[in-house]
Amino acid sequence: MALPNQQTVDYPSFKLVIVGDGGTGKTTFVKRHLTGEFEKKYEPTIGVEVHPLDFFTNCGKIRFYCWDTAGQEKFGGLRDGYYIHGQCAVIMFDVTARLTYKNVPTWHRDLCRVCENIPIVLCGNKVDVKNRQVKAKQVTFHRKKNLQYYEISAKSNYNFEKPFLYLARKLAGDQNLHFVESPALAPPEVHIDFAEQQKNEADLAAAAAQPLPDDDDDAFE
Amino acid sequence: MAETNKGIEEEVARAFVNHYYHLFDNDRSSLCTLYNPTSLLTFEGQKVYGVEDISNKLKQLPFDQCRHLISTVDSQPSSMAGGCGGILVFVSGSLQLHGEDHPLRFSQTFHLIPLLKGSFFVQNEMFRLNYG
Repeated sequence: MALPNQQTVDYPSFKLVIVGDGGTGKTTFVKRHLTGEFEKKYEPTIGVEVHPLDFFTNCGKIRFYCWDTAGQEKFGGLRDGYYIHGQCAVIMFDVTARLTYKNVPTWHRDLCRVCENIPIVLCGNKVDVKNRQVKAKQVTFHRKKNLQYYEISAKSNYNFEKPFLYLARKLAGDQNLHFVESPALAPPEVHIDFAEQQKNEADLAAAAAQPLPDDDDDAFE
Repeated sequence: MAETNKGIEEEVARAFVNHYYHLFDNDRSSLCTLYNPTSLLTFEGQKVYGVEDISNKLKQLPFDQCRHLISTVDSQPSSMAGGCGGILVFVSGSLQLHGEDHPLRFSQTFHLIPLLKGSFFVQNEMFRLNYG
């Protein structure tokens, strides 16, 4: 959903809600997409900045209107107006700050109270940082709630497109949909250790084969 | 009595508001000096009681630097006949967080109760961001 002062488009477009604790990199993440950054609009009464992010698929263009807060989440939960008419969502946490993962169930609950049955991606950001507090195999929340999980590094563009591709496929109802061209991204500010990250992805795959730990949604040590 | 005290609450309210936001923006942990064991804060809908919990709530907000810009301060004497000489204060303004592009608008209400020697403490406080 575009803002009233924002141009609409004649190809499929969807409101994408980004939530997660302050400082997890939500704004950094959406700002990587350069045309979205150029066309973003701020609406002070709602307190939201909307970035229109276009992607090019084999079925044509698709646009995500990414709703990003102005920092209100640092004070408490967000108002319903932020979630209403959300068609897909990203829940972000910071793999170097344990509390931000611990708060994921709260964000998920707040989101689902307003937006029932929308596709959701959980993103663990900052995987470029050496000293991780949340290891890949400790991330289990997505399996309990049937979300997709990706490890990302906004500053290095690592896996930037993955959440959008997953959501585009779900929204289009076409598992074979793919991107035919990459959007222009801001140049990487850091570089990722690919060997290390391959190991993380392997850990994640191994963890997915294990039974879920028998604990509460919010239990995490 | 009402005649002679007319406007005093406005001076107190203004002085309090300057003091409160100066502490909030420069030395948040010192805000604890403004509360009392009976104090009650409602912060974005969350109720917090007493000096320690209120002080922790404010200290632990997940941002380091912020700057309040006050737009309006309204005040009224809150005492009934024979009452305590309290003051109700309503503030509106905006708040700039370090690292955020846009300021946030807020409203905040204080109920100040006098102590001996002309000082006051915050008995009630309510804070809301204005958006959405």
